[in-house]
Amino acid sequence: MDKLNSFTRRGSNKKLVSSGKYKFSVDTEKVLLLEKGNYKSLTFSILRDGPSNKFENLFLHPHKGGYLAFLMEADFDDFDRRNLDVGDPIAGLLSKLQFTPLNDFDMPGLDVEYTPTDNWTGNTYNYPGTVWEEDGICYTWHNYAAAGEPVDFRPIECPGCCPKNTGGGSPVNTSGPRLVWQQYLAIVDMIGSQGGSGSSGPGSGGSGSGGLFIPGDGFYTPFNPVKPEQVEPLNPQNEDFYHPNPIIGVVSPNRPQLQLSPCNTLNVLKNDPVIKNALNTLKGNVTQNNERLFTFSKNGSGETYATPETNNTGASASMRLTAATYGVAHTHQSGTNNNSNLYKMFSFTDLQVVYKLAKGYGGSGATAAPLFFNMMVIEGYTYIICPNNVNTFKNMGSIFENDKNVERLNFQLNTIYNKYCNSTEANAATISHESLARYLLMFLNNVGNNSKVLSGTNFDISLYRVSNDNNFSGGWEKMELDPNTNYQLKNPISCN
Amino acid sequence: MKTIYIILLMFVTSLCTSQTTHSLLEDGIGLEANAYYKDTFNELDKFTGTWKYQSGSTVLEIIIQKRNMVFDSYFNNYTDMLIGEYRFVNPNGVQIINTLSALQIALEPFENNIAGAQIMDINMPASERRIKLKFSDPDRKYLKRYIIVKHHASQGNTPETIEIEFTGETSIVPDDNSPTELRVPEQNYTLTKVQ
Repeated sequence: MDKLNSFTRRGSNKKLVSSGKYKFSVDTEKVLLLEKGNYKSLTFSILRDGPSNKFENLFLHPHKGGYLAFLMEADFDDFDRRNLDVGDPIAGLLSKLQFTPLNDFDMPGLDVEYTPTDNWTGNTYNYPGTVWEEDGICYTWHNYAAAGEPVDFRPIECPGCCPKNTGGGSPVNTSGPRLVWQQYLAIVDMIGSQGGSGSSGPGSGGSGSGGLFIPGDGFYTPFNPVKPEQVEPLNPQNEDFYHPNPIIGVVSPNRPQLQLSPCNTLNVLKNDPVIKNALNTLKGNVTQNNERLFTFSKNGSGETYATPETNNTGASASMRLTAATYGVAHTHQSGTNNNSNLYKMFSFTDLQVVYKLAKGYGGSGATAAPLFFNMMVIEGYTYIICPNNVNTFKNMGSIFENDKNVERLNFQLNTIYNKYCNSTEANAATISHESLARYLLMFLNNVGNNSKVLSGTNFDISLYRVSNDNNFSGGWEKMELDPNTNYQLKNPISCN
Repeated sequence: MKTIYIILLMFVTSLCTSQTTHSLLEDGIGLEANAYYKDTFNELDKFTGTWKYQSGSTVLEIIIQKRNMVFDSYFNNYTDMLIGEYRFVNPNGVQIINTLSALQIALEPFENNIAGAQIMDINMPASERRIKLKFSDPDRKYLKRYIIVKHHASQGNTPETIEIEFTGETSIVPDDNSPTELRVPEQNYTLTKVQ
């Protein structure tokens, strides 16, 4: 262990060691060592030849005086990676981690002893609401009670680490050892932050307790991100979990900082099968007299589910928002009943919906939302509005919480649509949506040379669209104004 | 005393000169500070009055009034606008809702159950232009509903009427059991002027 600790000294030279069998290297200057009592594990970021966008760790688990080696791979999409970078929770985190025992692992440069590994197998277990422990070391997961669904835990058999039941419920399997919770923390910390801060562990819905997993208490929240210049990890806040000599070493994932672009986030939304299915349903209703909508919410596992409007008889749709609702997609009535048609573009009350989503989201147990949005499906396209800065947007209560102000802004945006986009047509449904989009952007972002089309407030809103063709397989396009052409719409800017 | 009057007159004059007057027809109820959105062409007047629909026992009565220079403290401007209240009696002769008494109270703009001044069809002849007004149910304020009102002048023996049509936008209901419709059935009505 002394040798291992020596890898972590700051200021020492970079040292790469390789495994000939498994064809990867690790940087011994970038190792996370977790200690609790006699337990010490090591996690390295894996380096491979050529560019790699993978999240891979070499994880060394102490066992019988030596170490067992595991390859940990994370199946993260762009949105997950963005969450890692900013410290937001990852939906379904544990199900996205794959562990492979590295039989006969050999990396001489690490100079550690490896426990012989015969007959390694990977199994998946679901634990019915209980916690397992072995000699104060071996913590493991359980069913996720709040969601009523088991966590896909993927523990790995680890000879010699037999757990015992210390909680309620009936043990499912007492013979097989488990991957312990601390190890997940180590792994997640390794991939999840610029340094091994460990300042927050599995949380309790914002209570700030951090640290040890509390059965039935909610979601695992990744560690807070650490600034790149902060090379020393912070002490963990929860001493119940970490030993007073907590983490030594510095972890720096071997990848560039990922800044998830709004377009990537939008693609995550569009490619969510639940949202795509809802959009396809709405697409079939864009010429109807009745407004249709779906709300999108996160369940306890961080998965999205869609809920249709609460009424289906009137011309206007109603919906209920919960603390788990983060997005809405809707149509505007646009059928043969011309007089009651709405414009093929967002109203101001549609923006108020986004405010209410952003303001109301995040009740107990809520996972991170990709963004707060309102989509509108019209013939040919689906538009989306979302605030560029949610925190600023959420502070606009003086407007959005005041019905009179919302009504005035709503009426005025309608007046602008009517006056500037409706040169000859009396039917709102026939007006060019690009023309409406232009005035929407001027109004909401308070830009333009004509003071009569301004709202007086910069709501800092972005507008995108995607073609409805081919199952929404095209890319998003950002709609922007060009100040050099009297705030005409630019050609749509591809997000891809 | 005369000096005080002169100073007051100058002050009021300066206030008037710093205020920009816009036409409701041209600019709607705009948002510009220190502006007055005036019904320059008297577009609103024809919609005022007491209007009544009756079919069997069903009655919908609407009173619409015009308010001039209503001040909005948030946007710091003035506007002319219409406000109104209504009562509805169902086919069984049971009065379901009656908000008419609210007209006796000085409410803030848009606090009345009917309110607004959005002139539609601005490129059409004046007689064809409609107006869009907010329409609220006081017990279901979360419902975003509007009426589009068209006026028909009296011709010969044909009485003066208004046609109203309901429209609306997405509403956020407070709970799963909340009603999603107004208590006034959202259908088209032709109301005859009775006063």
